Amino acid sequence: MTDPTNPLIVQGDLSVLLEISSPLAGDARAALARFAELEKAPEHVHTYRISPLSLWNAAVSGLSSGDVAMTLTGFAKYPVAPSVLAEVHDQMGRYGRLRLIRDHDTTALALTSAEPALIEEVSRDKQVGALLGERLDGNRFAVRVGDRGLLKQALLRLGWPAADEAGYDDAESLDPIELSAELRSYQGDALAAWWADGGEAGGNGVLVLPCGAGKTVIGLAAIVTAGLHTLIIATSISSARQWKRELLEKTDVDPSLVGEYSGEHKDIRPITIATYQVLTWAKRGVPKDGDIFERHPHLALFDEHQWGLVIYDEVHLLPAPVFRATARIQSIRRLGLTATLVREDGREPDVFSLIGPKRFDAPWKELELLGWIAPATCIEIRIGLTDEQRMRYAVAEPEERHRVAATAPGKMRVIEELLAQHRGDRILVIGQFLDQLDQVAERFDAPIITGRTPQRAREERFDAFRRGEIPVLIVSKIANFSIDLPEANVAIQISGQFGSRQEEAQRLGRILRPDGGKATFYSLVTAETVEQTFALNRQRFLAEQGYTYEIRDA
Amino acid sequence: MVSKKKNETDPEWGAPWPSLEDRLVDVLDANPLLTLLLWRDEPGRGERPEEHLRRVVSGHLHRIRLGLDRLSNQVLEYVAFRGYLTRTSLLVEAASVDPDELDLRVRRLTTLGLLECVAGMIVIAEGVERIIVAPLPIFRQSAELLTSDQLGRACQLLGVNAAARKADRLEAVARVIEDPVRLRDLLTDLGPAATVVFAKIASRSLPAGVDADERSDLPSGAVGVWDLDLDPSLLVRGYGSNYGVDRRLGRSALEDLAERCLIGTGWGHHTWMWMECHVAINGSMFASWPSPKAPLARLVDEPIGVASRVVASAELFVEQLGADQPVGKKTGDRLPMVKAIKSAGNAVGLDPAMSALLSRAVIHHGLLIAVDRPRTGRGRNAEWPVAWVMNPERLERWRAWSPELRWLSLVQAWLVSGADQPGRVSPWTSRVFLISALASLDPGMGVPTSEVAEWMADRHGAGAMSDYDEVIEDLVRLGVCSGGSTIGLSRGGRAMLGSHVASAEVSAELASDFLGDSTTFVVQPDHTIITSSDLPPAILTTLLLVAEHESAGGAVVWRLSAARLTRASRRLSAEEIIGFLRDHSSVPISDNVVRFIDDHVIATKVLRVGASFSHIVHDDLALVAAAVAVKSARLELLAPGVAVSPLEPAKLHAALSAKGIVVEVDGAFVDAGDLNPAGSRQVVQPDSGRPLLGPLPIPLGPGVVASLALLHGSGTARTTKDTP
Repeated sequence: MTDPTNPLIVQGDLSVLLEISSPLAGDARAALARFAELEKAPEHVHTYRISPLSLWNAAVSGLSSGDVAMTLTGFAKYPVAPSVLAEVHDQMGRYGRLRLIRDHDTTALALTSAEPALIEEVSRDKQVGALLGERLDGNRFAVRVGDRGLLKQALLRLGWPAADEAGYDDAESLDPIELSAELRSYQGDALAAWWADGGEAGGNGVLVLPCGAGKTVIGLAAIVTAGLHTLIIATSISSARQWKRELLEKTDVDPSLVGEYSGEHKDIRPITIATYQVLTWAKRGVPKDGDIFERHPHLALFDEHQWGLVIYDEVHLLPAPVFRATARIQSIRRLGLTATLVREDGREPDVFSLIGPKRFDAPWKELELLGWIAPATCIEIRIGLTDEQRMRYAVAEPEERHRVAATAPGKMRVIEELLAQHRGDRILVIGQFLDQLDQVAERFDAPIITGRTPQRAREERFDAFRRGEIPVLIVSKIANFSIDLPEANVAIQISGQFGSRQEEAQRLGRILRPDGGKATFYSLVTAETVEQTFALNRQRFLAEQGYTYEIRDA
Repeated sequence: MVSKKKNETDPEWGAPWPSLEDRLVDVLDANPLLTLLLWRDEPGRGERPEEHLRRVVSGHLHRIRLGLDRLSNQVLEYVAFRGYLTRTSLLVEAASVDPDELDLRVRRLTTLGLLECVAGMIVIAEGVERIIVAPLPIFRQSAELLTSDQLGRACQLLGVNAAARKADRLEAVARVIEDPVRLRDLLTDLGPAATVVFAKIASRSLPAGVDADERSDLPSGAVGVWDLDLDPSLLVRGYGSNYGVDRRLGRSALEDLAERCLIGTGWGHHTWMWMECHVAINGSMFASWPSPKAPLARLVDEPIGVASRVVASAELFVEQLGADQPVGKKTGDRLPMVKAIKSAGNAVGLDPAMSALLSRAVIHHGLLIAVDRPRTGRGRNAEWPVAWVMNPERLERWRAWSPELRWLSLVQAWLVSGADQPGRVSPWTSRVFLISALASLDPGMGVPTSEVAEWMADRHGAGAMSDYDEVIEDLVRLGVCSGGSTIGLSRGGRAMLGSHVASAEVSAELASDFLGDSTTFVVQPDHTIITSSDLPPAILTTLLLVAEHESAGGAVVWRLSAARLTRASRRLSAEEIIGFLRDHSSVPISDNVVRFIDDHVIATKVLRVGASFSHIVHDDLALVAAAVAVKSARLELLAPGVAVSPLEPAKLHAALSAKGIVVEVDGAFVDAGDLNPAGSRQVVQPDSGRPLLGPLPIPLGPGVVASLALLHGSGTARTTKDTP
């Protein structure tokens, strides 16, 4: 089975290395992606990670441990360690041995298993036991409808993920609507994987696609396919309005059916777009550990209408209160959209339990090769300090050093050179420190959008940028997420939270649009300062993602 | 009395017995200490093989006993208590044990000469009683603890005729305490307080098979009668509060029991239950008899590249320690101070446990030696400090060995390292036990790590009171074993075992694990380096300097590390590191990797530390500021770019190095050539003048057992003394 020319190297820690120069790399990648998460994709050897979650995701998709073992050993360059195969077998064997079903006699929910010992074991767990109702028979426990999500979470924590076969409640239907945009092949595949022919096994889960791959369009297609009243939850008001714009542009839905539930409007319609902020708004005086619906009254939106589908945009950012509310609505179809399943808070298991398993994953490199998203080059430009500036930096308090380095005056000259070099391009200048952004805006007479900018002004400036009326837009971190600026093809990052992988991915994502052609992402870094240290994180992260990374001296 | 006519093939004991050769294979397999002892011991002139075996056994009775399995130990103790035993009585006593297993134990003990089989009965061989520590003192064998008057008084109180001779009195009392009915009646007559006190003492019996010297290892709650304090104020107070027995009554009951010899007292403040009473009460000597069973064998993962890394690490480590030249403060130190070892290990990226392990190995081989430093202090305050320095000649000779021999030398040094602790089985013994147990499994197989302790307790009852977790960790660290939830010997671990006769084959086998023909790797833009598992130590040494190990399996993943590059700048320039990577990388090295190395090597700022009142100086004010921020350096900014510290240069160096600041010290250290090796009064170390002998295979495992058995069975026993 093993062959030195094969592309896979299976490590004892359950990581799998894929040598992309191998002629079999494509086949191996396709097989591997079904049960392992792509962790990094640098130039020569990509790393995938097999985890309990990735194996359970695979089990949901119908893969067996034998299939996984066959892929690992069949494409392996060296013998696969027995412990790896044993772990695969063990973890995959756990999924589905506990099942959440709808009891035929009572139509109530029940947790069941063919193994009395297993159901006995989990029922004795304190957390699980508290969520189980009366014992219906030797291997069935009643489950309250509202506890469906919490029970799945608790079982997952025990390492016994339950197969949710309890189906969905009836919901109000939409009048038929049509999607005017044509789905790309991968978008169609993603939708089909999520919908699963409309059966009870489908209709929930997460689709992972890179920035610029058209996740919103897939969301629209899901609404059209399901034909049910839908709640869309977006990260910000700008993002929510972008959803509304796309919905109206790319479908024939009657505008009167689309509502906005935000800080400004509380308009509940058959298709309602809400924001995470409004849902997690906390009422004063209610303690954190108090009743969640009392503390976050807008979470009642989930219950106030008979939704048939909830779409979670940027699911990796889903805040904790929304998780808790989602745990109560497990009989509604759910779709999560994201560019990455990696959550900085490590709550990936909750996404699996409550939103559903990963149904589709399209690596950006493949989409780039197919021309669906723009190839990007990352360039770090290092700027030196004068002796005087260096002394100022040296004597600064540790917490001030980042600001001193990030706002080094030498960056202005470099921005000027880059703007001149990219005349004719659409350029975003992204930064963290507002006074620095104000200076840049003033110096180059460019419009600026920050958190202080009124919503109307933001929309006008974004629109003007989209129309090409303004070639350079200065933005703060508010532009990190979900702002669709397909025309932007150059980003100049002048400062940021350089340790954050998520921020890096999102900022780069602003220019990964197919319409922009080749994209260039500049980062200005002050040499021999903490900025350079932080930049290492970015360098590593972007190299891991497979981007070309250059370092230049100013 | 038992006839002294010996018959080792009595049908009573599962006859016909296998040939001596087969029985030898069995006893050697079961007792690795015996294997090692036989291997080391040359037969005398004209000495027949069985005489040689008996001589070795009788000369090392305690060690042989440590190697016996739990069931054998129990059989031995039972025979010692009973005096002699028939097969039938043993089968009745140990009814829960498979008769074949009992026969096997009797055959083994007889082959070893610990038991003798005489006319269908077995008895303890002469001189063997002294190694058998019964779980409780045996009344009949304790005449020296009791006076004739005491026995006479006991006879009188027990209502038996007090004979004139002490032996007869002893026999008379013994008959009473061996009789369950009479014992119960006696206790009833003595009253409830005596019954409670007696029951309390009876409940505190030592577990079977535990040596009296190992009581400190017993789990809490298993305290033996040996530890009961006779002091009535303590003993009786306990009964008073816990059992509702009046203190005065308790004291009186204790005296009543002792006077009648129903309990033993003496040895200072101790009181105990006689074995005879224990058997009379419980009906059996042991609460249970062990039924030996091996854990289910499982496939193991082959550790990848670990052995090569150990060799490369050792080389770097000795160089680092040699460069640091740690000073020994106290006379008699066997090793540099732990702090110095940790610091050197940290500098080359080793964890503290690996550093400790390697430090012993390199000192064992004399690669690092202690040399005298000038005496300090006078009179009672005089100290003879030593500095640990590299022995370049010896290191050169060690380096000249092939990588597999260097690895073997490190494993052997580990095997014999570690000080004995009172009341514990020596680390050497438990290491030998575990390696030989794992060698008994089929190649590629191991056992669950969680079951090792129980398995070893079964295999070596008396010798198993040890922390096998530590041994396992070391074996994994060295690459002798696989890691994870299943432990088994690696290919290298199996290959290192064998006879010196087969050393060439062993060496070839080991070499196949070390000398891969791969010398290339892939350097990726994300700073990772993917190497094959069989990279030779010569390449690994440099790789270890600049990169950290991330994962292993089919390949080994390394990551270039800023901290390591900074430390490596003491030895290598950026050009050298980049050149090394370019020489071995099968793909072009991306620009950002080159810049990363440049950033951390070329740009590494080196502070110079002066002697006496230390100072640091550098043009880079930020760097000086960073050094001043290191509290343990106690630096004070004197002028822009200059700071001073009250610490000695070496200490200042250590403080700054510990925070990752690269420092050079101006000529404060000693050269090995300048000073003589420290005298034995200061440091216990190998004679650096003695030749560095190449390591030989470790004489354990089936191969060695088979060859020893063959030689002994055929009557041509020959061993060798040049085993390491």
